[in-house]
Amino acid sequence: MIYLQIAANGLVLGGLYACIAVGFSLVWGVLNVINILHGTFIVLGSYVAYFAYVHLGIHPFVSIAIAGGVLYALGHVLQAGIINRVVAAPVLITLTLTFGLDLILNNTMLVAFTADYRGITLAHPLGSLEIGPVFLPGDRVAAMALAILLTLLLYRLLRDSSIGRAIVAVRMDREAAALMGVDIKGINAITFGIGAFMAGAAGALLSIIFPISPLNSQVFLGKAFVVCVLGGLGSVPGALYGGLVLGVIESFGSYWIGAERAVTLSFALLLLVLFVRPSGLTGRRGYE
Amino acid sequence: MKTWIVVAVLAVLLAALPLVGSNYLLRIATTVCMYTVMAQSWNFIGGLAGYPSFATAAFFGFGAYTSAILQNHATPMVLGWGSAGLAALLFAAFLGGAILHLRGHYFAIASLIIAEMLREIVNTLPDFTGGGKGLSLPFLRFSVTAQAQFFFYAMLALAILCMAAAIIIQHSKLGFGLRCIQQNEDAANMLGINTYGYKTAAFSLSAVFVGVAGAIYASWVNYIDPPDVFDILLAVKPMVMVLLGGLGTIFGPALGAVILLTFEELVWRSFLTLHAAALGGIIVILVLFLPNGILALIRERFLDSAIRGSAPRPVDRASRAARDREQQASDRSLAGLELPGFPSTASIVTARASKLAIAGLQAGYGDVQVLWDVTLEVATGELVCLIGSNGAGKTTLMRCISGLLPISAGEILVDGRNMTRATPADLVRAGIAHVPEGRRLFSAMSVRDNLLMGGYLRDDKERTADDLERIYAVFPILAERQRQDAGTLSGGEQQMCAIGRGLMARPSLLLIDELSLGLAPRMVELLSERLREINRSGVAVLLVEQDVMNALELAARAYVIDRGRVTKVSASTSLASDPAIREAYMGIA
Repeated sequence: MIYLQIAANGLVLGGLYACIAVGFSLVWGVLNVINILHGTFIVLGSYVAYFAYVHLGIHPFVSIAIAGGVLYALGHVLQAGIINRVVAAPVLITLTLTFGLDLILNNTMLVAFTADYRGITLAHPLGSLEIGPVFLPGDRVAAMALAILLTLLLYRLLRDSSIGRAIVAVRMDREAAALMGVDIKGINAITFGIGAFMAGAAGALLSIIFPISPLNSQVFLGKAFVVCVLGGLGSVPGALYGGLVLGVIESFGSYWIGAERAVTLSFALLLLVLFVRPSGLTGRRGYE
Repeated sequence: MKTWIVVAVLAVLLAALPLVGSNYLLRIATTVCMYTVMAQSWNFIGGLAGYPSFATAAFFGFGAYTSAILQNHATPMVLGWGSAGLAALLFAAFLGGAILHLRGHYFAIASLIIAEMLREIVNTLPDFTGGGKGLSLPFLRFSVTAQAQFFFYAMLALAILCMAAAIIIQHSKLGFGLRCIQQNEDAANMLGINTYGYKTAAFSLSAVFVGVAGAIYASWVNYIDPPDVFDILLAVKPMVMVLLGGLGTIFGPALGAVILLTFEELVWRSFLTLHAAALGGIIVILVLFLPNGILALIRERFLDSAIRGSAPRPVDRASRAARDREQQASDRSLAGLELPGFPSTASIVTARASKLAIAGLQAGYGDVQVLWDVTLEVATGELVCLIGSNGAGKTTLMRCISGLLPISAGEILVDGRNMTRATPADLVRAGIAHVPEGRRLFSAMSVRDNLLMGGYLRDDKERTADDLERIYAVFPILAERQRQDAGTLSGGEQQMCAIGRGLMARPSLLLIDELSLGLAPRMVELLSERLREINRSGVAVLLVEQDVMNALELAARAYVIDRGRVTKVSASTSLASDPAIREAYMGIA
């Protein structure tokens, strides 16, 4: 059954999309900032994994922690040092600011790493998985599993930890959270850092699947947009759901109308959803 | 009128440029005119209406392709340009219908994606559009210099047309309506402004000139391809120019275009590989340090000082003094409420140590002062209430105490320590918890999580757990509903949860802003009883309450606040029998 295979491919892709989008969604929901840097953060995470693999022989799955840590630090510093100064300003201002920061970071990466597409070829691939009529490359499946695991860990962090509750509280009512003694700017920085961590981790996972180049950042950013709008803003389950839906749709789209048009398809879908249900397919303004 | 003259003079000066300038200078001038058109056009939707549109690139590419395709099918050039403008206008009007109901980030994203969509469509229709290979336009049969001059005049004419449109709109009903939408769209709607129509008009206006600019550009460079004419920077640069020059102004966009493009020519030529980063750097500096643009800076620095004289603006001080006098006069008119030389707080406060002492506090929002010289004290373990009519400044005072609203003068002492500039977190640590007006629970969080948020700053896990149990004992219904979302509770239960959340911080002073508002009498009775118990356990309470009878029954002492001033302070029992109070707040003569 070819359709089963396509659906499975879509789900694998979708798990990764969820991981791409969840950090972006968190920042959007809590800070009300559209982080244009997100795509570049992901690519930077891929580069960290790439260099760690090429020079130190560290497996990209292990690099999740390294890439995430590096990106967390970068995100935290950017928010605490720069974005916090205008975080309450209108959309136009914060959007323009992250756009400007993205131009700087992306251009720097372009100069430092060139636009050449690089890729990681694993020395010991996991082989392929065979479930009934469906064949899947083992590394991809492992990457997807890790992506979903990370997403669920973030969900638990937001639900069960004190920091997580504070993040959610700031998202719901900034002023009431301040009355509880929450340091709003500090939580902003931590939230942006976590968003960057998830981007870096996603980048490390993607490094074994997609070619790595600064030029790809816009593609990833576009995916994050689409997933967020599909799944509903700022919610972890929403991102998971939106990611899986997008993965499956793209997978079937590529099969029926060709891979290039599948991108157009996802954008068309986004416009349609925005037109019909601006709050996303899941509707309810999410908890996490 | 003055604006028209400035535009006319600029136009004449620029029109003389080909007489003196080289082809290189003409090329730059043409680019400046093109970006002036795009920045001014963006200003219609982004500056006036306040909608952060990224659709400029889409309209530009749409115009370029429309004209190029028409010309390749034997349409004369200028007719092609006009058709491109018209097509862009119709496209924007149609598009506006689909995405202008979105606000903020959603609108930004939708508008951003339109250029991507068009780019993909062009790529997928190679027979018609040339696809990824791009599209060449018919060659013009005149000299290089003549071409340079021709396209310069074409762009200049378009720029003048666009500025003229901007001036006319600025002073028209449309401009007024758009500014209303920018300030407060819902209010504009209620005023009867057809917001949808106005926004669509602004969006279409932001497309028509850009469409023509794209068409002229295509003829000028003779060859277009999707990455060139749908470039996202074509949407961002005009925005940056408007921000640089000044949002919603007539000359701001043009000024921004000149500055940015000059900068681009002079500096970026030497740093070709980092040219995007340089633009990014400008954006970051601009957003952080020049949020109102250069025109505003010039106005502040030079015009203001020229007109008003030197800094500390005397005008404001004079008007403030006048307001003061007015206020005092109106206070005196409140006969009965004012006692000659009413007793100072010091003489009334008991011998107990003071938990909270406020002296000479002044505060407000922006230019509007709300609180005038407020002095108030709460002793350790005391239950004090604050009564006053709507808008008297009670909530503002509570917000000042918690550090949410910075005060402009006066002092706040907690346990004798000066906490005037403290953050809300400092005040929680100093033992002050605030149960805000409207309860402000985290509605999609569980009751238990709301309570835990109250103890956010504590690190003593076990005692926190004990306190949670204690609060469940005080309000058993909260224990029953601890897994439910706080938003699903009834009003009274929410108030319990809010008080419990406050208590979780182990405060020695609880600020409660409106205990009984909107609650059934039986619930008020229950909450009052619990509040008494809480107070008896040693927690001081400062209670804001609209139910004056109940407040005076609960509290030992009461402050009356009227139009931002404390007009009376006394023991509750004597206030309750005060005829003026009875008449003003209880409706009993």
